[in-house]
Amino acid sequence: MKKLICLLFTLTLFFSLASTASADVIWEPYDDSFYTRNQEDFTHAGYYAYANSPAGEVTLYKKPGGKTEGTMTNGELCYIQYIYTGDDGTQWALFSDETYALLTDLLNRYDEEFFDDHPEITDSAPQGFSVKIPVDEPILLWTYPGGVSHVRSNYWDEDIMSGLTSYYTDKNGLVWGYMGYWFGHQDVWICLSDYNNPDLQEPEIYLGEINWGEGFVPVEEAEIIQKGSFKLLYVILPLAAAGLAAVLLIFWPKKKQEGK
Amino acid sequence: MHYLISLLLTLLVEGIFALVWGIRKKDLLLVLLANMLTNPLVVLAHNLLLLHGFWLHTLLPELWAVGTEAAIYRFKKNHIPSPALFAISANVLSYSLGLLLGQLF
Repeated sequence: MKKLICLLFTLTLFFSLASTASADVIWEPYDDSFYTRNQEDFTHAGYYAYANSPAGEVTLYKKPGGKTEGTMTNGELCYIQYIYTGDDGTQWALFSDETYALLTDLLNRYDEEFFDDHPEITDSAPQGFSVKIPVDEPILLWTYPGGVSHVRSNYWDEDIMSGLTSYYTDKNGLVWGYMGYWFGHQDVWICLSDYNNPDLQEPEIYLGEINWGEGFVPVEEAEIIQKGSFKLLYVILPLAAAGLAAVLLIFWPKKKQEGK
Repeated sequence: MHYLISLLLTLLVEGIFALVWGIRKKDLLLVLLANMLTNPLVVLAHNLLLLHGFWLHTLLPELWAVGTEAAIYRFKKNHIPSPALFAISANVLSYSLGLLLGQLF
């Protein structure tokens, strides 16, 4: 009877763990029980990065350390929704398709997130600077001055300066103005000195060494994982504990065989 | 530290379960020794094989642990009733509680 109760308790506990709790978050994966169970270990990211594994391609996982779900070729751009930090400090990126990748396999690029910390951004226009853009002239909206992405918009208000909240003068002396919202576009920069010139776009800036292109040689993935995770003490201690137990068990008397 | 906490929790949980199962005295020590053999190795396998899928880093080591403990209870001198069933139940319980603690903390 006691054993039956123990068994029933164990089974009930085991199967009840199939249910998970949910919490309100800004963005929540639709079908990610790992995320739901470990929300406190996730922080919001919301930025783009490049696949950049030394192995040549980034492995995607259903959950950190779980089943693999495909790969991303180095150089592919991806959007990181959240970052998960495991108990051992390993960080994982969570993407919109609810797959995960090691954060160390991703490369940040210089974008508006990094430009926002630029010290030369000011609250007022350079002294004496003023501009009136003719109505119906196209203007370009940039994610940051000289940034890699921009959209074209038609302009129909002569007094553009009244809507700007920040200014920046780049190395070429061009004055840029920032607007938090512009007719459906959020957080945009406009080059006030040259408002519809797409050639102002600067080359992509990578915040680290790139692992693609000419001269890149992929490293054996197993070698990378072993180097990253191998710590002598973490192997010796459990082996020592198990070894001690094994020695004691060797000297433990054996069961008498039936009939002897 | 992670290894130590895992081992101590396992010994505590399976020790209590063994008492409820009716295991006493020297047999209880055998249970603790068996877990001291298997638990560190299971945790080590989990950490080393973390990027190689659930089967390799969790299921296989756990199955090995259950089999090893069952064999110890089967062949070493003790009075543990239904040793194989005890090994399976104790490991399912400690694994489940490990999952639960992972959710809570």
